[in-house]
Amino acid sequence: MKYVHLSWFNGMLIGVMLLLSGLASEVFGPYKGTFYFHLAGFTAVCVIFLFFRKSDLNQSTATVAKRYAPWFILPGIVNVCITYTNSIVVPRIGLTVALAAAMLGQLIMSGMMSQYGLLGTPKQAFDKRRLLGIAIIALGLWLMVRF
Amino acid sequence: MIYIVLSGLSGIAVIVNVAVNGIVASRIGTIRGVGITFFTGTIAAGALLLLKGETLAAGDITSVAIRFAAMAGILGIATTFIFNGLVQRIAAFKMVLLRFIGQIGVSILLDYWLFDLFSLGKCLGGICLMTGLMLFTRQNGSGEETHSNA
Repeated sequence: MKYVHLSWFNGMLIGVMLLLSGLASEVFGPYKGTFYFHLAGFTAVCVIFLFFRKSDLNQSTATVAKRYAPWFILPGIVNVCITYTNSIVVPRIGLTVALAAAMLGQLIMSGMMSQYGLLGTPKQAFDKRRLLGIAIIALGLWLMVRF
Repeated sequence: MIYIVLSGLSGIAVIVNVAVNGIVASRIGTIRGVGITFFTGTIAAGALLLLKGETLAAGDITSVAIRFAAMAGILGIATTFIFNGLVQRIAAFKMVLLRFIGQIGVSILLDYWLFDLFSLGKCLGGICLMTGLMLFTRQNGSGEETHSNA
């Protein structure tokens, strides 16, 4: 049961995080706001690394040769794009609409990835039920923007 | 409209990032994986700053906004670790659903509280979002769970 509560609490934290990065970017501008966001995050990871060096979270399963690859920089660059986008979008359209649109994008992409089994995701057909779900979410987004 | 499209695109990028992060974490461990993400993110954001000709000012340290950025960064790390911890302990569809309920619930409250942006449309839209999400993430008839990386 505690994991259920932790799940929605995690969602709430994401909402607060987006708001805070949006507010920081209002003052600093999106570029500087994105930089400070990542710098703070990196500092926090360094502290966590020092405290949990022996933890399971820090154990790698791959051999040394396969451990690091040049494409590991990809998530960091994509993360910058996401943070930058949120920084300019949230102050203009509000948190709710921004999150709803992002949710729609997330579901469409996760559905497509499941359809083709991309990046190791379990294969699952993009059936009518999922399509209906996306259509209803799109309707919800329209209602949020229109009224 | 352009901002809504941008938000949708950032949602698409989030899913790609989650999948790639999962692969990175399985190779080098979660902490190192998140560390590399934020390290390269800091370098990339710094490069963008330089390209745009912006500089860091000493006064930034005392600004209230730096606290917002720092808190956001720390929350970004916290949510990533909570997400990684939950993945193995709770069904994927339940986690996605609950996480979005938390996100939308708190965003409606914050929009109302801070920006006075509350409207009936947002509430109705939120209900539609939850309904659509339940349909999208519902378990199949065979009992197999619907997996999602969102």
